[in-house]
Amino acid sequence: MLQNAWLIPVFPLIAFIILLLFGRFLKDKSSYVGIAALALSFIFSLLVLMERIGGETYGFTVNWLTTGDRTISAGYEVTALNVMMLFVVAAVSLLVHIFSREYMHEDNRIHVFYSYLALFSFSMLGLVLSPNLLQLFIFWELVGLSSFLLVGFWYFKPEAAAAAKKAFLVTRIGDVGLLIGLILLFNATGSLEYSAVFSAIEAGAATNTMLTVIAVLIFLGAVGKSAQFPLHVWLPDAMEGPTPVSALIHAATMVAAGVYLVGVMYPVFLASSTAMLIVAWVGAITAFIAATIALVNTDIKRILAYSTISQLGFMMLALGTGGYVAGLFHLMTHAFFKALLFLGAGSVIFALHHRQDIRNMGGLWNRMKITSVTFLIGTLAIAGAPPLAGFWSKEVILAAVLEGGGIVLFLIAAVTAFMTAFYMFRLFFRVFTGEFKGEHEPVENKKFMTVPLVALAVFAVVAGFVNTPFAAGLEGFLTEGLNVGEQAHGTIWLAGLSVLLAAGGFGLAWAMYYKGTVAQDFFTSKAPGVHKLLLNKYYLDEIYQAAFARPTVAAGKFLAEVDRRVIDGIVLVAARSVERSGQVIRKQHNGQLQTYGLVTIIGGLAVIALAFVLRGYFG
Amino acid sequence: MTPQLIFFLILAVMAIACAVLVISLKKISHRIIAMAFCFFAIAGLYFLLRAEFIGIVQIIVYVGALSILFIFGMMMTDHRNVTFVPDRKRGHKILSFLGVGTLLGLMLYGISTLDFPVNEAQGGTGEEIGIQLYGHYVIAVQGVGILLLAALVGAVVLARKEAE
Amino acid sequence: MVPVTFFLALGAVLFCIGLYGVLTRRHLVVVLVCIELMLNSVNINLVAFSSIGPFANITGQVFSLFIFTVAAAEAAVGLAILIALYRNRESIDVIKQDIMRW
Repeated sequence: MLQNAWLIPVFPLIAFIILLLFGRFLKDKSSYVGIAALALSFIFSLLVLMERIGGETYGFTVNWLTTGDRTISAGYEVTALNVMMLFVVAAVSLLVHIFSREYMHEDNRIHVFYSYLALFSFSMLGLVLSPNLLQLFIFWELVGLSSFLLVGFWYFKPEAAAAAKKAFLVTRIGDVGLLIGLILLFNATGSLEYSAVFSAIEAGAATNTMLTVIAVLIFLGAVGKSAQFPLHVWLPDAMEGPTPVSALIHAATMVAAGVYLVGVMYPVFLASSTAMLIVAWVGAITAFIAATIALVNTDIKRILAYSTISQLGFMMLALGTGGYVAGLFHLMTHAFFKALLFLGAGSVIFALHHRQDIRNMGGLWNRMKITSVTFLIGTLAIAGAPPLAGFWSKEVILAAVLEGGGIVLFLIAAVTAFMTAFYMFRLFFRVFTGEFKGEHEPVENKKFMTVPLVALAVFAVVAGFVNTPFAAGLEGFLTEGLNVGEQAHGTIWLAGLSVLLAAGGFGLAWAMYYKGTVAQDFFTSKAPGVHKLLLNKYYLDEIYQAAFARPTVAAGKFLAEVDRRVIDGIVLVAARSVERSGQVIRKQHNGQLQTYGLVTIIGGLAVIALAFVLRGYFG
Repeated sequence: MTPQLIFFLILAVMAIACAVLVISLKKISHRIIAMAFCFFAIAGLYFLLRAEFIGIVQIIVYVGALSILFIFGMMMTDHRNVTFVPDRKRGHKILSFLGVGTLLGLMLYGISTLDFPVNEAQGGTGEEIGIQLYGHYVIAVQGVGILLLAALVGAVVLARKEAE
Repeated sequence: MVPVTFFLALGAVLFCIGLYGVLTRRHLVVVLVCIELMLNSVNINLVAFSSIGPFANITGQVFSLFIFTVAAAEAAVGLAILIALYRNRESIDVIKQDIMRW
């Protein structure tokens, strides 16, 4: 079965090609093509996962091109990490495909939507299967492309077009860093194969400084893709895309690719303590900043987006403090419960006819039972309520941070965990409890939307059990044959603290938004400046606009003027002078045969005279 | 002063004088007659060079046929009006004269530097020319025949009145 | 015997007179006549070399025969063109035949 792992990304590719060619005739039946392809992928990845557990790593490569004595290969690889990612991506992707059928059925470009989704699934699965960094980079760019296409799916909305552009440009900054990092790495180690790179680094192929530079540059790519501070600004805007897209790409899979990249390249990071420190701090800052913004935001999808950024920051923080398993474990659990939350939000938005402001929602608990219950499960999971998935992964993250990061990082992580619980329950209470506001009575959505929610809810409940302190199955699975250092484990008091933080966040949200015992402007009235700062997302967009975008545009305009005035001027002068001289000279072409003859004679004489002067008569 | 030289000088002066007359006489018919005499003098030079066959052909083709052809051409066009107004710019004539004069000067200078031995004239009889023509140059003769045919057809097509 | 250079000089003179005529005369018939003059001057050279040149050879006379035929063909076509021109443009002034200009 492992030998057939390469088929997993091929199914969505076939679906993509079919939809590209015949999508117009299939119309809304095209969803079945996508669902069928993803179902096959899911079944295959499930089989591969089952075989890989307790099995061996399988790799297959062919030589792609040889330059000098260096060979670049292509192929696929089924390692423990890959197979976990394969399963997560295929599962979430399949459920999102199913969900989208109902969500998008009113859109008459649904076949385009499904072809993009299939392209994304292909790229993401291919990325996960890549055995070397070059192949990874190719798929990395492909997922970026499909993300761009899907965020801008409703391109006729100016915000969506702008968001797609922003997402593409901002991640591009990271991608350039990644590319430079890859080139440096190739230069240092002579290979882009993971195993060859790691053994070369172990053998001391690169100096410490070089390793730090490479690691930081690769991390820059992860920062762009995983929306880490300071390149996180694209992710909230990317919420302009259809909600299933947000669930698949901007919550569960693509944004996790950055974390996956750091995980895959972990030995490189481990070799440089500076890089680890940078990863940890960037993760911590991201987690904190995004969580604070999520406290005050009022758009249901943006809150989830900031939550995603915050959780990705958590993963980075864990990886940066030595918690290899913790980060990747959280990546997996987060993929499930965040996809659940996004799809739940999509269900709510769909039922409310595309209203997204949580201030205009409320009272959906009785009206949309399945959505509400599953959303509650997702909320509990992300808040860290035992024994749901988020509890287990968050606990090992906290343990890793405490052990490898010191007290400051731990405090940041703890505060962020508290805020996570708070803003998630704020969201939940605002949307599902209280008075219903609006004219149309919402009803529960059809099976196509509720079934994925239930499935993801099941995952959100059980996913955590693969790695508990009592049975650390995932840890053994992921670290087998890898040297990633000693992994931290949770303790009882840490678990207690974790539950306490979640309960605290829940309690505060309950008091403010359900019971009303604490006034809703209790904090905002105390510190209006902070509130304003958070509402405006730390003014980061404005700062980037002023610091980078405007000067770039101004420089572009200046250069355009230079081009128009100076360069075009020179060209025009050249063209005009040729034209003018042509107009003068063409008068000499007067049709007078005898004049021509005369000119010919004089010219011939001039040639003879020249020969005479230079060479003497007749040579 | 050999007799040949005397004859040469007489014929040469005659040819040059007639050539000058060709470009300076007023009437077209006079010019054509001057041309005929010029060609006649050249034919005489051929006899002097003991190329009798060529000389005869020269008289037949040039003095006979071509002169008559030109006279026909003259008659079928405007032959009374020989002075055209307005006259050409002086600059053109002067430049032409200077250019051609320089060319002539160069050529004469070049010829004067040549040093060829003085040989007796050894002519070529019509028989020898015929053997060469129909032996070594037979393909060229065929080609020239085609050329003449083409010229014949072309001249007919060009001179014919165009169909209404 | 007369040196070959004399004949060459005569050919050059006749050639230049013909050339001058071609360049300056305005009657088309005269231009054609002058072209014949130039062709003849070439013939003089050929025959002179063939007869008294350093490598006297009958080939020169053969070639002059070819030139005769070419000259005859040229004169025939030239006069035909001249007649066509005169019919269409009612002038045989060289200066007026300038439809091939800019």
